[in-house]
Amino acid sequence: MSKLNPDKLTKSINSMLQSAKAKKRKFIETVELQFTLKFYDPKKDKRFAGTIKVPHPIRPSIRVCIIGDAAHIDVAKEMKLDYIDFEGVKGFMKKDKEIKKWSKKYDAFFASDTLLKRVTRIIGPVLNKQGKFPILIKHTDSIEEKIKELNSTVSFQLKKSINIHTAIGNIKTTPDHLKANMTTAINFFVSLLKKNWQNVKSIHIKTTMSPSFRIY
Amino acid sequence: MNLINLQNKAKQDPKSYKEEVELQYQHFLSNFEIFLLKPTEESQEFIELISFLSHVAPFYKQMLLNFPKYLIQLLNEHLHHLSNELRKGIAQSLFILQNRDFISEIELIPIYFRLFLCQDKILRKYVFLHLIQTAKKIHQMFPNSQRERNLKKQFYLAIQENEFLIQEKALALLIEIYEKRFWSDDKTVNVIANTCFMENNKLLVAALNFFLKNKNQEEDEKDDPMTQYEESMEAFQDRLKSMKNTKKTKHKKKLLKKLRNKLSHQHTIVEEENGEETKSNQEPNFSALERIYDPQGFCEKLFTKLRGSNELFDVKVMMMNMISRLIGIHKLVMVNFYTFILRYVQPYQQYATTFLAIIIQAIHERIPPENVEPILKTILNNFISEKSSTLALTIGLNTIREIILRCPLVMTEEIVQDLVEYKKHKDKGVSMATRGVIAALRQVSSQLLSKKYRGRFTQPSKQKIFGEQILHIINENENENEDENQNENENENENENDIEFDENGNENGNENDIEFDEDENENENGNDIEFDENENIDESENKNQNKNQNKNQNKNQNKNQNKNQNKNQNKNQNKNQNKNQIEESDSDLNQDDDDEMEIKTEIQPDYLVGPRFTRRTKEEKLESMKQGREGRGKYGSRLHSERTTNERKKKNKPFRLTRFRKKVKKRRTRMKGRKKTKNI
Repeated sequence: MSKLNPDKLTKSINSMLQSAKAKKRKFIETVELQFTLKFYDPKKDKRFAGTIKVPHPIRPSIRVCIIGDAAHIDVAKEMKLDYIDFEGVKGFMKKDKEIKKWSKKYDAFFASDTLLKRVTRIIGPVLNKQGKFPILIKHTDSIEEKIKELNSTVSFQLKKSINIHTAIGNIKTTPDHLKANMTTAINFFVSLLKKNWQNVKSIHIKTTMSPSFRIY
Repeated sequence: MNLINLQNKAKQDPKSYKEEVELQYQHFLSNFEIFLLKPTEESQEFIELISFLSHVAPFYKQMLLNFPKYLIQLLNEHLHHLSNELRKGIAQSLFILQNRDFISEIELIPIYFRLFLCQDKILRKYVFLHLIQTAKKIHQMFPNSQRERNLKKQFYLAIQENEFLIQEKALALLIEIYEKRFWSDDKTVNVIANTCFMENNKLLVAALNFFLKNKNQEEDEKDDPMTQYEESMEAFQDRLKSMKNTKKTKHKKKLLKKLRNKLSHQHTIVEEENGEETKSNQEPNFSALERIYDPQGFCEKLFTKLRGSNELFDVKVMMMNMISRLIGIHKLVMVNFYTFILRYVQPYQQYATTFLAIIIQAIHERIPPENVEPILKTILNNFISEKSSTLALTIGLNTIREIILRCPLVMTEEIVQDLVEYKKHKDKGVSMATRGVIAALRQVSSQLLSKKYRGRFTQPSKQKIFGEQILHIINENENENEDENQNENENENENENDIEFDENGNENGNENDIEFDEDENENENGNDIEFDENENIDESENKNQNKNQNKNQNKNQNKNQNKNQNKNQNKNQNKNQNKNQIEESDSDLNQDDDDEMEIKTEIQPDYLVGPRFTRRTKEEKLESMKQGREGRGKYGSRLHSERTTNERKKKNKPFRLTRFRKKVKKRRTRMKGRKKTKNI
């Protein structure tokens, strides 16, 4: 069912990592997965979108802010996470620039289930634009796990072009982990497509600065 | 010597006619100076000179280097003084010079756009077509080059001009060129989009029309060359056949050659078309709405414009439609929009269905249910009550169905209970719409339905919370998968938005497809071949069952197995029954397929009205009766229509039967007697 050649995949992962090692950059490069589709007519075929949890974390660290009620703020204090309460959100007074400045500091937002609806109304538009729409947390969930989950989530959405890119790891993840991440993500992505592998023209992997390697 | 004559000869042999052309050029220069003194004067000779020089120019590049400059100067300085004839002449010679690459198009474009200000309809049309032609040529010869970019820049600049006329034409050109897919980049779309905020409201209308238009016409046009090709192919073959057994003359040979040429020409056209199609496959065109750079900002800007605008009502509706489409496609959060549009939700409102369609487009799962609730309430109050008309009821229910699909959280159990009552409504449209609502609820949040309406196969789903994220987790352990799969099958009906797949689930899906195919094959074969067929069916059944045993059993497969069992029972019965059964099972399958309602980004108002079931008027009935009568014989007694007289029947009676009758004998003897007398 999977048309990926495992040997080729490991080989290209290794060569990719080597080329990244050969010239070190000042930041941690991410490993990207790139798909090109074929025989896809955006007018007729259904839009697809999906998120999947891959087995291993993607980013080395993630900056989160919690928009919480009293209980969640206590947890955030304990875990030394940044937080903001509803009054604070209100304080932005719907001023887009201030919200932007504040939201730039974070990769993602969590909001308590009691607050999310109200928060959406105030900061929703801006965060939505940046693709950082707050994620819901309940009192029963543990925040730590949620963050972990977020860190190993890959989402696919078709926008404007038939090329689709996602981050799938960074150069510090081990090749085995990368491989596992890739196979799950690719298989899931292909399952989203109407004709599965027949819709895929090519798949490439690359790090931020390295040349790309074709794996399918 | 005649100018046209000279033109031909100069083209063939530029060197030897150099002096003559130079003479003409001097002539032109002197004429030009005279003309500057009296620009309104008409002179046929001058026009002819210009056309001559523009044709010859590419062969005397050195000599005529400054020639275009004079023409441009004329147009720039005396645009409105020139006579129509002369202006057209100058424009056409500029077209020629540009097409031969004598001057670059970049410096000419602003002048072309200025020509749109003239009061000369034919000229404006020429210029319009020429500009499209230029864009096409540059795109085909130098795609994505600096030259093409410069050309685009000129067009974008033209939209910024102060003259309304030029702006409008530039926009019309851009739209035309975009639709022909010469320039289909994001930048063009955004330039078009930005015209929505310009002073000139004609631009707004044109741009909105462009974004909201349905583009189904393109596909229809594409069929033509293919059919033409087939037709001429047939004609060619006919000709070949008829010539097979006749003498081969020169004339016939010529005819054949003509046909062959025509055929090959059409073939290349068809091939080009196909080539374009494959190209378009590689780069599918996303709708222009998706290419807007900053949809949230654009939407907010347009919304503030809409609020303060005193445009025509139709234009306002278009603006709302545009905003709602953007919200739906980009999942924007525009809280104010819903309260704004609420006032239009009335059954007596003009374009009521359009407004409902606009609302539906603007609803998606990221909007807090509190914002959708007032909309739902107003629809319930205004459209769905016992007093309201059946049409209003149908439309209201259909709208609610779509809202449920998009934002299931607004629904409460009480509302659902009220709605479900309409299932038994006497009007068919209403009851069908109610069924649609129930089906949507089953799919999205079945826990709200009472057991009776939920149906046997759907389990009540869990209450969802706003903003819940849907994650897909793959477990590698097969044993765990079984439980998971079962859960997922239940879930499938609950969350339509989340496409739940895991590796195995996906495989199962594939297999089901294959099985469907097999079923269909059986059906087709069953019609033609008799009992031997059943064995085949058996085999495929076995295959199916094996597969089923191997894999986790999901719900669809269970159904399939049931059907297989049905077939087993039918095995010994006769063919017709068997066929029926398979057909039935097939229709079951189809129903399964249709179960999933999809969320459309674009909703037409008619879609909400649904099929209408009104009583027909007398005229309509008579019309349908007349239609039924066409192409059949008259009913009634057959005797009447075939009645013949005895006289008539006698005429057709075989002679052998009649010749011994008295009357006939008498006549014959008389005839014989006459013959004898003649002979004598």
